[in-house]
Amino acid sequence: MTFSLWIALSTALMTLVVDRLDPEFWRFGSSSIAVGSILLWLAPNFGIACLALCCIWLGSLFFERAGKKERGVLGSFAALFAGAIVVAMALHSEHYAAIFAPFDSKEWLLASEYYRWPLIGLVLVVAGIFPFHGIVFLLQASRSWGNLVTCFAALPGLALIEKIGFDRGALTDSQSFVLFSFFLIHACYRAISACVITETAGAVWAIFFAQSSLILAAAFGNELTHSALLPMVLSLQWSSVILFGVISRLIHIEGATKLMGYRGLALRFPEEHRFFVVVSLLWVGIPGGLTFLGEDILFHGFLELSLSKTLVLIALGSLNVIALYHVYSHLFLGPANSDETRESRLPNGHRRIYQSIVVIGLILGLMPGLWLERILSSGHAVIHGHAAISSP
Amino acid sequence: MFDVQNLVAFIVLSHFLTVLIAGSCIFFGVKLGERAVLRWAMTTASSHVLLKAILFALCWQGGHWGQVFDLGSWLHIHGYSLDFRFALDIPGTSFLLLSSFILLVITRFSLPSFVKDPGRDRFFFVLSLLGFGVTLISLSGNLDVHCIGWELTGLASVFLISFFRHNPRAVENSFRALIYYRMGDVGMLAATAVSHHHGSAHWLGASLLVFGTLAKSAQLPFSPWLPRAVEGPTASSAAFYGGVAIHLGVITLLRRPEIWMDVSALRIAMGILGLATLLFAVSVGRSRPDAKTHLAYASMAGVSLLYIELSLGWLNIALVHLCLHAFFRTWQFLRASSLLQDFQENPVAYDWLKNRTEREPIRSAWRRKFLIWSVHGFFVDAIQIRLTSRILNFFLTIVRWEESISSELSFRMRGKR
Repeated sequence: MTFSLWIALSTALMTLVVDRLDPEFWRFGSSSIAVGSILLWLAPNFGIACLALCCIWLGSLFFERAGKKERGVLGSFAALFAGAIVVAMALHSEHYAAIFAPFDSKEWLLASEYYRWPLIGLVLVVAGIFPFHGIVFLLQASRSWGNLVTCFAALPGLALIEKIGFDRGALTDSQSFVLFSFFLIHACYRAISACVITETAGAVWAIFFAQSSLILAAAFGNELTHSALLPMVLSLQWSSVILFGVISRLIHIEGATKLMGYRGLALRFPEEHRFFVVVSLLWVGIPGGLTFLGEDILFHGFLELSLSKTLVLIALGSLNVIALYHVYSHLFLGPANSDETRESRLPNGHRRIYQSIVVIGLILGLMPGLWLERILSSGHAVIHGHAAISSP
Repeated sequence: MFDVQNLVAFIVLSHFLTVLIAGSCIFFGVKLGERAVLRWAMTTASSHVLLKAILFALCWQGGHWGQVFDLGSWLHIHGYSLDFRFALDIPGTSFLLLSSFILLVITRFSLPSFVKDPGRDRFFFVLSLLGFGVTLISLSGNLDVHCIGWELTGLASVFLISFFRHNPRAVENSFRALIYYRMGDVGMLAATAVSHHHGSAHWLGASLLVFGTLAKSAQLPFSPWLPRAVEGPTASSAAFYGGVAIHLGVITLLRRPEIWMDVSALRIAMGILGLATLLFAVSVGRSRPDAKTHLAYASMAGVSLLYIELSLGWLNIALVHLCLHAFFRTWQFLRASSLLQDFQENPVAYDWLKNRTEREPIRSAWRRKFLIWSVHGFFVDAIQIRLTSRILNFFLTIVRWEESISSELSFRMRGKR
């Protein structure tokens, strides 16, 4: 299986899990986002990827929330559709590439150096990177957390980078430097802003984008940094599902929308507290998790290219830890603000999902020899698993 | 009878399993009985002391110092591999034995405090995490394994500072400590990166390594976190800021002299910083009214002496001093909670305290000013807080501006629909 298929499979599974966790998830627009995110990774070329992007953005921006009646029908339909696509593409990847070949518009897009600047802009927009990160605030106000996770945790920016071939020398040195710099600036800005944002979900979103910027930066490295992408993307997707699931529940029950002062929710929500601590630590690269594995490979990969870039990435990784602890401490620690002292129990379904994700993540993170080495030794699971393109 | 390599593997594995089992019980919400937890804590701590004593004896008798061996590879891709490499040397194994003994004493000491305390599982889990981290640091044969231990000890420390979750001051101080710890982690990770890039004896790698250790050892300008970190239970303060964790920076430098010894400018800088921290800690510590904060500054001063010794190249003296200092401070921290009773029961101590409190007022203006500066910690903390808050305020302004624009836009979009 190629790198894209792994991410598509993970995205499809994530969509199904989000459907279980977020009661507001399945609307018509949501199915469009979910299908678009999966299709984006499965797209064999840039033309199809653009169609998938249209699905995502139409779903994100224009479709209103539908009534509850549609939930079951549309949800099941979209989940089945997504699953069918993944299975079909995995089984018939060669035929599928041939069928869609006429849609490949990459050659003429990359023919001129000037055409690449709008493409760079497109990558920044879809990834929600500075200076186009305002789009995230807009979506956050109108969509449920499940929609946003499906939309951004599928890393559409990385998918576009892969489809256009930006990671394989399709950009000039100055263009690569500009794009890479934007990723680093954004990672730094979002990590620091997470410490001052007063809104709970907004602060975690800021850390999410800081982490995703590091992943996007990894695409501009070498073979080793590309190998770091798979564990880092998997970690980002699954950790964000748990963190946002927990936060949305806390906001729903406790109304913990603001991070002003300490809330002391660890007392009332011991299970949520446990999951939040473990997942956030694994998410920001504490030894044992998938992110630690990914970051370790990433730093060593960048070390072969540039020492200064490596040092900047190390510092950014640490900033994320500080930012996430800030959110955690304001949410769960400190004196309890509420008079209510009764412990709240997590629904059994949620608990089982969270526990399974953490255990699988830990096993994958602690034993990369079992899966990552095998996948990489097969030579397909790096980002350029598709047929090589000719660089202009 | 014992193979040293297998013994090292067994020690590391047993620590890992201790952390894994204790962590799993907390994560899955398994409620163990009080006696079971306390017995488990004592059994694991004692068995670790025994294993490490055997290792030390074997190394002493068989001359295994300097032996390096790989216990397998964690990752091997595209020519890059992360090996579990361990090395036996005198500073490492000595500190390993010392730290496990101190942890055993602290475990035993804390047993009565955690009877009927719901936080006991958490406490003993974090102690086991510290034990695992220290083991990795003391036995590591490369900086990669060292970094894993380094991060785990920092994490354990932050969790113990915020042990009393309901106390906002403890939470705030844990956040402050985390920031300094992460600086230390960045230094250590960056030193690892540079050593892979330029080889171990490079001035940049050496500087970053020393930077990382200074942050972890609370030397200037990273000192303010230590007095704030004594918010946790007294037993944990003894483990972290008296006996074990505060010395991790020094033990790192003792175990890897080849990285920094040849950089003369760095040694001079270490000596100057050590001296500055010594003066700072002694003068500020004397102005502190409570026992634990006073002891925290005393620890800082002790470690700064170790840095001075290291800068002079007295490695053996530093190792002996470190061991004695660790024992002495642990004892002082553990006695801190019964200090008042000590003073009441001991007539000599009572007289000494009485003389101290009945001193004549300070008449010299210069001494008064110095005392006021000492009370304010020479404004090191205040300057750092002001600098950080300025940066954060700048970002806060931008974030608020962005939020107002986006809320205006989303309002208009909804209006159109």
